[in-house]
Amino acid sequence: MTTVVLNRRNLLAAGGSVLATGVSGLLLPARAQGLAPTPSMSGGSNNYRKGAPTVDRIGKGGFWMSGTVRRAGDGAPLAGQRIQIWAHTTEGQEHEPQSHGATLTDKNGAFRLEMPQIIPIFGQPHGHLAYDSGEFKTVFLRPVMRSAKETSLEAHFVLQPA
Amino acid sequence: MRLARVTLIWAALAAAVCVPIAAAAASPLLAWRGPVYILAGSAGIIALGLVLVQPLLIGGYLPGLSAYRGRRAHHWIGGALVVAVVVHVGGLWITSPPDMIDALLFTSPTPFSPSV
Repeated sequence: MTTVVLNRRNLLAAGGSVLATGVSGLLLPARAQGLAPTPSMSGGSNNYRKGAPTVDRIGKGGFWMSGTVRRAGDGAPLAGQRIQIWAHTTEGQEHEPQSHGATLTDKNGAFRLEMPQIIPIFGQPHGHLAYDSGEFKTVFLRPVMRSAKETSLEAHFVLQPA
Repeated sequence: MRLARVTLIWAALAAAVCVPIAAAAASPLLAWRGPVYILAGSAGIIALGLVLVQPLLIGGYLPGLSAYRGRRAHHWIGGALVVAVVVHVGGLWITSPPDMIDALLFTSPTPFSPSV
């Protein structure tokens, strides 16, 4: 198993490049050729519960987790993909079932799920996201909020066939 | 002059140990944390404070303490440190075993982790 070296610098660089390619990819699809798949992040799968239910909202909401799911290579948006989301929030710890939920991407490959406010745990305010549906290779993300006061967080997936 | 120096040294040490503990105790995030996590976190904060005291005691830098008393205090605080570390690691293990394993293996994706 390869170890993904993930420090703040790498994370910022990778996050920035994903964001940059993501935005330009959406605006200029022809430029998105050769889009690299998103690697799983260190600690991304911590407290994962397989098969979180698809929900309209996790708990009472108030915080927005959003992002996009695209195909590696051509960057085509992937519709109907199930993204599982969990975090330590004002309504529960990471491992607790009520902290977990899933949502599907729309026709533009975008997803957006309301959830309770994320609370810092183990030193960082962070969320967890998983693509684990089999059609593409499994990816676990662990995006970190710049501040615990933020009320939204984004994570973007570029998936490669399994 | 000497009294002022002694007072300042002890006051600075007390502040270095107590200010972080007070800041943690006043954190609004405590409302969302369980007792186990709070206990484990506090043990870590207290342990870091005690780590500062240890070399000062054994090096004889704290005025008003004889070498003997300093050494005795050093031994007792060493024992307290072991207890604090056990409470810290144990409590965080209960909170989230996979995150604790990452922390123990230095693979935790936190900014202060040495391997990232």
